[in-house]
Amino acid sequence: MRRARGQALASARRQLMRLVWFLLLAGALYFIYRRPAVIFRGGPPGVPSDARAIPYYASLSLARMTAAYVLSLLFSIVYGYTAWANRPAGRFLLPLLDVLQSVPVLGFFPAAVFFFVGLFHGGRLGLELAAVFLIFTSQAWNITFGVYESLTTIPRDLDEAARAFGVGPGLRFSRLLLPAMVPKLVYNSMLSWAGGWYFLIACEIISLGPVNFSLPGLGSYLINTAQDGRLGLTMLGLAALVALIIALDLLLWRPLGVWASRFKYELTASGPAPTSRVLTMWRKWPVARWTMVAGVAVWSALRRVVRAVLTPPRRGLAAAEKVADRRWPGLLARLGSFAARLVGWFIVAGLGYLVIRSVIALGRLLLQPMPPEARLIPAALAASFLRLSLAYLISLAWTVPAAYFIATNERAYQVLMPVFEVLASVPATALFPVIVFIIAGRAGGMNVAAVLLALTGMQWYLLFNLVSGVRSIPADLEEAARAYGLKGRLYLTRVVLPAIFPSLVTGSITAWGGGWNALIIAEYVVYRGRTFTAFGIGSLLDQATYTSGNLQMIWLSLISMVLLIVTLNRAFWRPLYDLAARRFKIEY
Amino acid sequence: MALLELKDVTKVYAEEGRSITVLDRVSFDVEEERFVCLVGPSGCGKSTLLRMIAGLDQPTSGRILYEGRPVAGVDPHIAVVFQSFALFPWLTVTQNVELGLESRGVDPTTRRRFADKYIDQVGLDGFEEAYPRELSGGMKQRVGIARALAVEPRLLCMDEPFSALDALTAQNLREEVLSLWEDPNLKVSSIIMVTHGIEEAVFMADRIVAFSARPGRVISTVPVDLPRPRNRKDEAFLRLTDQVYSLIV
Amino acid sequence: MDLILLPDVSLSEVMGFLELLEDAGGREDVFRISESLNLELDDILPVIEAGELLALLEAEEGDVALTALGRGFLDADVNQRKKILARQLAGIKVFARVLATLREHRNGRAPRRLFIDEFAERLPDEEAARLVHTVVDWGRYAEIIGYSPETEEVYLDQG
Repeated sequence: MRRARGQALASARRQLMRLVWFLLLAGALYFIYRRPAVIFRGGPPGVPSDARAIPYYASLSLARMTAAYVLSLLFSIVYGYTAWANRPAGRFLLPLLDVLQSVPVLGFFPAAVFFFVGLFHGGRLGLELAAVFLIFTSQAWNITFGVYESLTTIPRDLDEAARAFGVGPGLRFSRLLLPAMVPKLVYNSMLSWAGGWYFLIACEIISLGPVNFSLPGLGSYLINTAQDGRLGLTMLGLAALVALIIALDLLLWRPLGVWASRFKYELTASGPAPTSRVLTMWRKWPVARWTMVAGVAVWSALRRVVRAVLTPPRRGLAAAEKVADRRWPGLLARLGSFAARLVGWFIVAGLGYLVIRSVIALGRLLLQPMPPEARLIPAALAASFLRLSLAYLISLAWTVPAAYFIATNERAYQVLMPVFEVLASVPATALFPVIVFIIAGRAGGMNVAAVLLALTGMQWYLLFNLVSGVRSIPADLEEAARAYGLKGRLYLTRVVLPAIFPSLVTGSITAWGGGWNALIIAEYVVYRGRTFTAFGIGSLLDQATYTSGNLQMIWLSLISMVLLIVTLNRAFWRPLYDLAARRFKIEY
Repeated sequence: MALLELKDVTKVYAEEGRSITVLDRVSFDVEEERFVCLVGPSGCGKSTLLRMIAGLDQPTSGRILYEGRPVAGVDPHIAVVFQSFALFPWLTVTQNVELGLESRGVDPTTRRRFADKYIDQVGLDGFEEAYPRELSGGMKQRVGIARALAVEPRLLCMDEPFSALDALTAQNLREEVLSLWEDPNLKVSSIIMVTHGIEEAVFMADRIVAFSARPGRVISTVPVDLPRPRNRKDEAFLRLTDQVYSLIV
Repeated sequence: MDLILLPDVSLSEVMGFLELLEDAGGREDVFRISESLNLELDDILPVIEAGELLALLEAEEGDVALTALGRGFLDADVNQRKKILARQLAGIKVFARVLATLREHRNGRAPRRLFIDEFAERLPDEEAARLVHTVVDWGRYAEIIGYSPETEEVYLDQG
């Protein structure tokens, strides 16, 4: 009984923590939005849309991606490490990560634009930072969880052995912690990088669309050429984007993945180690080797400098401590712990103050008389939900049979998987200009466009999860099914469907996450100076942000959207996920 | 006529341009009411042979005849027990046992009756609504056996059925399989069991077919005439075990 | 509450051990049995403990021997064996306790969690969960206790 109460308490504390973070975030955003909106100074008009401009735009887009990724990487390692190494901190940091992850990133893009553009008084740099920040928010959480999880899997005795041999913090990080992180770091980076394109293109498009800013890049190039009706150029840009993505995948991510797989703690030898021709090439390529040698030289030089700078004070401190210890035994220690506690209390008090301010501010905002549009919110939520459901059902209808066919037919797997991988690598947002060009302006066109965009954002998650699900049906179960004559519908209902259920659930959860994000740019489009909307929570939010500037509506839409997403996850997907883990998981 | 006849059964796998002969001209018969064990070093193709007998694979050349007709695909009179149990984790014990009957279109009431009967015979009463995950290894293999018996086969093929179990549980199941087979009410006529345990083979079989290492050939077939129930400590038992060992090693 | 921990073994193992003991003439040195089976003592001692608890065998001075009940058990068929086990289990404290608790409940059903929490007052969580697992496993085999995985409830098996 006591134990049960303890568990309930712990879980309640976790929930409370989540709530506190949510409120803090909300408060922060609220204050950002309160900045005077003087920032809408038109940016440079028209971006030249010429085929020769493509490399230039591509390099700009890539630079944004790279900046965001490096930021994410640094953030993930520091945050993940802190959450793991510092238990009290972890108790705050993990729930925050949870909250951040469940937020539809695109919904907060306007907030980021307000903030950064305001910070730089309307300069281009602010816009760039806003874009980088948005991509960062789409990449970082996933990698951070990866870092934290891989740190928790470090065998305790390995860590203890390292300590027992007196391994210093630097060495411990480079020899124990970093290698443990590498596999997940690389894998999650690949996922985040792929997802990042989606948001990159999205913010290049958004910034050019409703708000008068331009962020030159492939995304703006696509929408610009589509607006001018030069679809040939749009296609060319799209091809360039796909080529860029694939080239990076082949030349960078795949070799990196192969390299990372060596760091896995393997308990059983399972098949031959993966190989990569490019990785071998990298190793043989003289430039790569020289780069590496140079890198190592710079790194060790840097370390020496850092150590040289740090050592004397540290030594001095240690000596002082020793003296102090001898003179006033324990006093210094007591003073130190007192100071630490003081700082801790100060932080807690500060956070508490912020929470209270946030609650008051939010409360005041929400207690104002509701704007008349607020009554539209439930219907808007329903419309968006229906749109997503439709896209989801369409995705299911084609991916389940397709996945089964691909996974059970070796030829098809060899031929079709690469094709689908290329198709899936196209960020759904990049297709948007094309889709809009084709259907915008026709009756009901926006509705179709929105569903189509949601579809492109959802279907691949399902397909790839399902393919791996079908392929993971163990050979002996299939053989048993054959030996007992299971065929047709019975084979489907007794073997295939239950076996793929877990991957279906995982794929669906990711797909819906992607879908909500897609809606925010799918329901509200500015095209050739005209605004097209499909009624839904996304368009409500966009309208409030870009046209009416109604703070209350922005908040109401955002909150109701987050609430719906969280509720759906809690009430529907979570139980299914638990069921999948309990009943349908195949353990060997 | 023998229940099962194998004539010059050969299996060749093509792999990366090479062809690997797994089984080379294997011939032997299995009479009615026999317990035959196939023994040999690992990789000698004995499991492949069993899969071909069960219709899960085809020989490259040679013939496998069940009651005089060639085995073409899965035969309703032959059932298989797997080394890894091969139970469907999302089906209950009863549903797993009913699986073979369900695919034959047997109506639910009859299915249930058959399943209950064989669940009772292997001592699984009380576990009907359990899922495989909840069961110990011994209980899991009992489900595998009940599933095979439920289709009332005449020939039962067992592929190393005890090798995934601990020594004590394996012994318990060996005894139970023997007492099931000796039960005159049971429809099963003969059992073919693949094993790499020579002692196990001597303990259970009427006849041992000993295979050489790859490519698998029949070295010799050894009749086991020891009275049942057998005792591993008996002089004659030990002598026969030694004899089979010296054949293979 | 006074508990005797059930050894964490399956009844199949106990039965296999009895059968091997019978082959050895009904009495054997523990060391020789474990040696002939390539088993560690840690693996075999819990099995012997379980056999003793069920009064199917007795251990003294490094030897194990079948009891009269043990011999009768080996000669019996599956369903008779279950009856013997049912009788023996009812005499073991943990089972008596679980059965009594179930009788107090309506329909003779109670959530599995309840027993884990009850045992966890005296045992570490993990052991309590394992004990409940063993109770359910043995009880099901002897057909005195049933368990429904859908509702996660333990119930009286009235056949």
